[in-house]
Amino acid sequence: MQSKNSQRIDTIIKRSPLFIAGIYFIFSSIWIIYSDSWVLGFYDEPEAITRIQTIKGWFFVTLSSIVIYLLILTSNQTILKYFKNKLRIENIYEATFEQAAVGIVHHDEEYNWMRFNEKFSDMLQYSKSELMKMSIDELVYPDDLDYGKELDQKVLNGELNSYQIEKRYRRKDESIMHVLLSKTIARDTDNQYMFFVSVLKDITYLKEIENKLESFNIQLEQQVEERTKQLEAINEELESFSYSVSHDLRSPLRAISGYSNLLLEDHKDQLNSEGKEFLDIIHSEVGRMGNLIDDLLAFSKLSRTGMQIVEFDMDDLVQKTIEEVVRANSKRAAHFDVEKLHHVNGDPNLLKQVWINLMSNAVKYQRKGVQAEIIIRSIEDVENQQIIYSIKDNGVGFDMKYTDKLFGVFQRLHSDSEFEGTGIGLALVKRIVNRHNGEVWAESEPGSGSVFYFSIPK
Amino acid sequence: MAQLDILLCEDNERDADLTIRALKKHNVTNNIVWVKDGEETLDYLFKKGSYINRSAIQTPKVILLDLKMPKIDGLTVLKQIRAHDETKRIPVVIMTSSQEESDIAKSYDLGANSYIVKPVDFQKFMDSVAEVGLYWMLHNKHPKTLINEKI
Repeated sequence: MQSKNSQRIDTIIKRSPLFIAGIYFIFSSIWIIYSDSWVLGFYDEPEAITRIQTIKGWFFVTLSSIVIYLLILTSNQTILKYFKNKLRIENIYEATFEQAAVGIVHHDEEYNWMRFNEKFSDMLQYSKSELMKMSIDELVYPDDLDYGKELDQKVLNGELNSYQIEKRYRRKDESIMHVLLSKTIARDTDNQYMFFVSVLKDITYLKEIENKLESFNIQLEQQVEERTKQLEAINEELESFSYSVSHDLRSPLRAISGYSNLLLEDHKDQLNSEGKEFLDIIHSEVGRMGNLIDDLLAFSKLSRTGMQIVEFDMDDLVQKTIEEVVRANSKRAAHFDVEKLHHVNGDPNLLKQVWINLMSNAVKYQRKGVQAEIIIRSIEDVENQQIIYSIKDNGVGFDMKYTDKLFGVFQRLHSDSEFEGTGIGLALVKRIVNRHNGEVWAESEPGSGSVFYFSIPK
Repeated sequence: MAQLDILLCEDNERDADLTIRALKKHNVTNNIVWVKDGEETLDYLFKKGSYINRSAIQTPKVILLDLKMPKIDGLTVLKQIRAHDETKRIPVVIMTSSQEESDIAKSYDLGANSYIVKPVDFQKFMDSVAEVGLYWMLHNKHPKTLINEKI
């Protein structure tokens, strides 16, 4: 726009004298050719003709002056309008340059100052006169000097139109200022290089935030590392604890069992029937204690051992587990009804434990003389992207108000005389399912069976 | 004097007593030596310390080895047994309370011949000790040069 206007002005200035002279030439020629023949048509006395000629001469001079005046006036007004407009644009630019919230610098290819705004000197904490005495290179952080000059060269060669980089400068107080620098070159109307234009935005505070974030991150990582170490130490302690439990708690138990048996075998004659009965009680209690230790150990082991999530065949796993459970509970009658199950990825060994415990419970918690009818199903919960497995039995059931106790460690809803158990089975189920990021819950009514559900995310 | 049948390495006096009783009761053997920790086991096997004058005939046919013992643990003892010519062919049966998978794996890696978890129940304990004794003493065929030719 600017260059188009300036071209027009160029033309006007160059051509208007010729144009004015041309118009004047045509006007005078017409006058000379036609005015005399027009005058001769009215008058034929030589005296009258001479007088008319004089009047005609004055008339011509007046008229041609008016024509020249009008022509020059129009041409000058166009030129004036152009320069007024140019001045206005320059004022706007000037105001923008000085009032900008960013530093603006013009420099030549030898890095001599041409112009910079107040913001730029303020940013660097120098006064305008101080800055004028310094070289641009002095202000740039030494490590960033070469890179910037390389890019400048590329802009100069025309390889780049402009570029934007982060660059460091040194303020008067030696502190480092981080700057987002945009650079290009100003060109004249012939598209020729005039000077470099740099626009600099102070981003030091952003950098400071960035650095702070980074140090927070490092701190956080250190904390995580520390906590992990603490946790590892605790885990190790737990491991040695359960090792002790398995080794040290068993051997006194074995001694109790052993010597009470020896008493029964070797000193039978000295014991009456009540004494023998007491020894039987000791024997069965020792057995129970042994089972408790084993279960506790299995439970603590579960949180220590790693989990391996793999693809596996759930139908096959359930079928094999049913066979095992039936074999282990051969004294109880049970019928299983299983439909094709949805597949999930998980740790098959751990999930097998879940099925063993749930199936064993379904078989075990049954009224005497009634065959256990066990129904195993699965549904896809599309909304929560998980598969829900269910196992329904026709057993004794439980009161729903105790449902929160159901999955606790060593929590039991039945006495040992009703149904034997240590109270660890469902706690194991819960822990395994939770480790798979799933949930476990149950529905029941005393006397009318129960349904156990567990979900595994897809 | 007959050759020693069993070297029992067990730090727990009660367990040792019950083991010896079980072996005697099932008529497996009366010919047992009991050592109380890993150090004593190695002293016995390599004729050091108080066993410096042990007769060669006292080298056991089978070693029953507990894992968790004071001073030197069972796995270290096992490593030593397998590292020496005069003991490397002696069958070693690990008898322990530990069901840790890592203990079982390590024991076999180091050349144990069996790994038995001691049952808490006395009857089962008696049975398994007797079975181990019978198997290794009577049914298992030992190499003729179990007692090294050098001796």
